Amino acid sequence: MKVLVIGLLRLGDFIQILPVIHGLRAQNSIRQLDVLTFEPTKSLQPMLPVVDQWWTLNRDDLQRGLGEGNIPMLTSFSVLQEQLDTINAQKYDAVINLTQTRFSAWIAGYLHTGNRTGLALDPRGNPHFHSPWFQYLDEHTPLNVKDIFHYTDIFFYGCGLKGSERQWWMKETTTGQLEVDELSLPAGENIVLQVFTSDDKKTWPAESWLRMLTQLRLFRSKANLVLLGAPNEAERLRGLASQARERGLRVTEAILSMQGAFSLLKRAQLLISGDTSIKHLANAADIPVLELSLGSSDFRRTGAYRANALIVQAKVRCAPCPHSSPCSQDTHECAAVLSPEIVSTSAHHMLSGDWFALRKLAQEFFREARFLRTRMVESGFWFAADLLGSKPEVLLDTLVERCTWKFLLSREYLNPLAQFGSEGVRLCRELESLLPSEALTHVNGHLNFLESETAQRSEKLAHMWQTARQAPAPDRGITQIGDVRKMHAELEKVFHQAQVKLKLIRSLKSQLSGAK
Amino acid sequence: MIETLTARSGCKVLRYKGKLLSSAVDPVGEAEEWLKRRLTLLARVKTVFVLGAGSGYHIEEVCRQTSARVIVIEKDSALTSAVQEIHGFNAIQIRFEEIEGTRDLRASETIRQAVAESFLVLEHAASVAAHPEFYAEIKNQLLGRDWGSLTWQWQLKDLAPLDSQAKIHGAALNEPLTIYDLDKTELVQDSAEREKMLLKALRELVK
Repeated sequence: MKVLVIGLLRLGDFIQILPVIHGLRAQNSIRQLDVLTFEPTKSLQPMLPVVDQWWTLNRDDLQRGLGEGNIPMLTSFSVLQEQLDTINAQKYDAVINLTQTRFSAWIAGYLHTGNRTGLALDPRGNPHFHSPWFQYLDEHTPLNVKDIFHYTDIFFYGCGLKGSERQWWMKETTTGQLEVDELSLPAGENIVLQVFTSDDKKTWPAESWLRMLTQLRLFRSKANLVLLGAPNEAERLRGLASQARERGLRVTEAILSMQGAFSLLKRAQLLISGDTSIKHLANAADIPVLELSLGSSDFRRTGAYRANALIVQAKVRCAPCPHSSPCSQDTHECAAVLSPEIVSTSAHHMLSGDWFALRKLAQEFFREARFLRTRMVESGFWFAADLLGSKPEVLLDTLVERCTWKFLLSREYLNPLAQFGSEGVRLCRELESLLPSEALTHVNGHLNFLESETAQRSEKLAHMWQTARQAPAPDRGITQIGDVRKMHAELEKVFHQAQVKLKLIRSLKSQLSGAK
Repeated sequence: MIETLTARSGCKVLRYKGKLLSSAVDPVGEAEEWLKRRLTLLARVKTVFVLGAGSGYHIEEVCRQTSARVIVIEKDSALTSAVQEIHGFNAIQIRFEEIEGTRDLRASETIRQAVAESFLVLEHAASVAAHPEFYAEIKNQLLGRDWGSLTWQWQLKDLAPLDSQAKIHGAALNEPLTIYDLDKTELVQDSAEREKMLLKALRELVK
């Protein structure tokens, strides 16, 4: 099979979907896997032998071609058409859109293939998701949704992949190694700090970084503190490094390519970063990450996708804020609330692998910040658990709800041999590892409540669905018929959702009673 | 009317009707600077139209930076010969089109073939200054940012014809057309479905 994966977002978003690309290779017989990305993403090419061919669009040039009066009106159109027609000539068996933007959806719709996955728009502009997972993503776009799967999980399952294993493999290159060798870092502990992000709202202020570094130096006197930046951040990074030196701090500035950054991370013991592409690169380098979740960074969707990362998020009412709008506060409140002390102490405890101390720290600063430890749940999804522990009822609700969605969206419930029992076992183990044993009593009580509530809801929905199906069809135009069909589909969905949830609750109940 | 001089760098340069067509100090450096400001989509297009032969150094620089076919539009055939004498350009990549006006432009088979694909238009200011009205007309025809030239280019692409009653506000206000106009007009409605998808995609880039 010859497959084209569309990844038309930023570099970090592309790195984030690597487990999906590896999963596609591992679980399907793919002869050739090519990608279509924006040009900057191609900088990853030497590190990703999993991709056979890279097609790139130059987003900035296409935009300029449309906007500049000295460029012919149809040049961007022709360039895009010629590029896509060249791609079409490759005759891909499948096109997978892992982007979920309207631009990528038009492209996915334009490309010829017999098998599409992910959002594509047809010539009339109607969306086709090709998997309930992509529709779920569309419906869960608003920032205020109660809960949502991580984007990597959504794309993973949306591609029909199965299991809880995620691969993050990237190849270190000689170029990258040479760049790091040139830094001449002394032997010892390397703490890498990615201080800038692509968005001011997500960036922690320079003064906070400097104060944090001063404190961290006291904790880790021998560590190499490495300030990492891309070539376009060189000037700002040098400025910060010289300010650090003025305060008597020993720091190394590392202006590196992506290959260099990856090699540096491979030699590091910790990365401290905001919501950046480097954060995702650190997942591939398999090192601990301390993520500062500020501004529009929504860790639920794009947090460090690995186990045992620590995400620290300031407790402010406006977080996370929308991507496209400026900060709504008079001051950059989320950045101000997150004190240097929180970050330096967290880093120190992470390096010592002391989660108990981190929990104490979370208690001490519970008014200012949330501390979340990431985990890959046995049921096959990423989860960020509050270090202070959620209320057992809330945790139970969240996990049962997620597993329900997974069964529903992957259509596992249609399988007569659907593994509700195994899922119950996994859920039980997860709860036991997340909650103290005394809390499991609350869980049992709450499960009884959930069971009866869901059973009632399920009955009610079954009745409504039955009634709706028996009701005479409307005779007043296509719009009404369409509305009725939509209502039927929605009723069917929530009915099945309630059924799945009920089975999972009962399975979990039986496991928990067995565990007692 | 055409004189050949030697620049301080040792390169031959041309003076046309008493005016230098390139730097008399460093025409190669000047050409490099000229092209640096015009790199958008250069690596992606199939043809580059250069308006004005100048002393030829800017043409040489275009050829150095892209493998696209280069069509030089020059009004004065004597100037074309003088430039060729200095550079001896390879006829496979570079073609000189000597035309009198837009009618010739629209009739030229070479130009029609080029316009049917992706292209850029690069103006050489010193050459344009020698025949400003001529080059202004040619440029407008190639930019396709008015209704008439856009229709001509669209037809050359062998796409479904446009609605002549298109409601393009830019045309009414005598302003250059933009993708916003295309998105609103009958052009999109009447173009073939697949082309419409590309226009819609591009529209997303400038939201």
